[in-house]
Amino acid sequence: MSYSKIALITGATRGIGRAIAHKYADEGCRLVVVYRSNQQTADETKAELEAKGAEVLMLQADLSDAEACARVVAAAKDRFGGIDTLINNAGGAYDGAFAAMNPEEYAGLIQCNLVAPMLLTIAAKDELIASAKAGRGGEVVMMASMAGVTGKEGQVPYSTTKGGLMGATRLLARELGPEGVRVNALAPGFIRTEMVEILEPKMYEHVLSASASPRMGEPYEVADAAWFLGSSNSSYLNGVIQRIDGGFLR
Amino acid sequence: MIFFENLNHPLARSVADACAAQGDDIFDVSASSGGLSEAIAANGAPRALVLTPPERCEAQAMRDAFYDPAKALEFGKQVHADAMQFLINCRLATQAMMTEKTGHVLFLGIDDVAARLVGLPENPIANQLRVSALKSLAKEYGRMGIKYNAILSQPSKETVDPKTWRSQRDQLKVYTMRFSPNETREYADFCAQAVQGSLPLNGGLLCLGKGVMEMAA
Repeated sequence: MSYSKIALITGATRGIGRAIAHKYADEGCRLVVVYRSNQQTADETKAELEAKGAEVLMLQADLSDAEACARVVAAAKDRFGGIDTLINNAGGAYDGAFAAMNPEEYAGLIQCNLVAPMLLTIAAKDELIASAKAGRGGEVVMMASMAGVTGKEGQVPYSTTKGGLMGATRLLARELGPEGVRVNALAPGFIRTEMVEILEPKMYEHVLSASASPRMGEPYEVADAAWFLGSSNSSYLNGVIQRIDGGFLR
Repeated sequence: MIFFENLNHPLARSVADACAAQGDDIFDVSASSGGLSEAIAANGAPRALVLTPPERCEAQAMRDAFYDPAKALEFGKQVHADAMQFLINCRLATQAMMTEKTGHVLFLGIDDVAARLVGLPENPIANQLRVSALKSLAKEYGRMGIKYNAILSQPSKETVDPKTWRSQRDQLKVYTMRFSPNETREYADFCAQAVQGSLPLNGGLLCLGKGVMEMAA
């Protein structure tokens, strides 16, 4: 009987995270799905994934709390015996004119987008190393952003957190690489999710006109890339920030 | 007047000296108990604000965090506090410079890969979050006459003992471009030009040094 990888995916009940959970289910993985608060979407996601035949452990957790990270890792170990692949997808956005922002308003963003993925990766380190040594996995995928790669007006705190996450990806890759664990990041551009649905049509045109592929990306396309980085298909990639942006030029 | 976030940083100190030699007034924000806010209130908007990385080693903090949950929590708090303080300083400087319709915010960091090779503090998180933020700020406030740039230099010759330089050169001898240190003064002279805003650059990242490939985005 072939081995079913164990993937822990955060923020997996909507948008890109949900698409990643579906991709990993399609690939026959056992899933630990972490969500922050929305029970209804969590229930829907679980039903969808189980309908595909996946074994699913749903966990509600606020990962900005280090103890919660440890509890999530322990729960995954109790249920499935370990973690092979960690997808740090959960994150938020906070847009606006930077000079007019109140610093208290982006404190939570730093915790959610930068500190939480680091703490969860640190908490999962032993499981990931064990998986790598057993030849099962040991991959970490961070969800950065093109805002972190190229900068984006109106998104100064957001791009700051994603830039920090890119730095953390490189640092974790250097520190865990000798143990066989690979840490890479995806930097999505303009992807069709709830985050961009609020934009006006002229903003769509503005963004799309500045892309080599003048269309929005779909969540499943990011999920395909997340599968590549989170599987042995990318076995010689480590510390990479992979753009997935249709050739964004702006 | 040119504000320096922390003149204890060796490159920043030399850049400040180079700027002062050309007639600029220098203000050390770290010496002010009220920080940048008080410095701006007392002196008005700076012509330039020179930012420097935190005085710590993220690589060591990460290693400690791997084996001690309390240290992991502490590391998370340090990263959070550093990002917050950086953004607060950028906001204060931007608000002050907006009224003047001119100004320059420049980050001076040490390339974290080169730092790792010679055993100096390695801070890729602090470096990259600053680079990304400054790119965004340039896109948002460049139209108001404010420049935001970053310079990552390899460690200067005086900051590393000669044996380490020799061993690094030996290890890199197969490469055409060996890891070759510049003196602090060489970096400082270039950075002083950048501080004074004479380079045609906004939202840019310059990597200085010879022999180690640029890793920053």
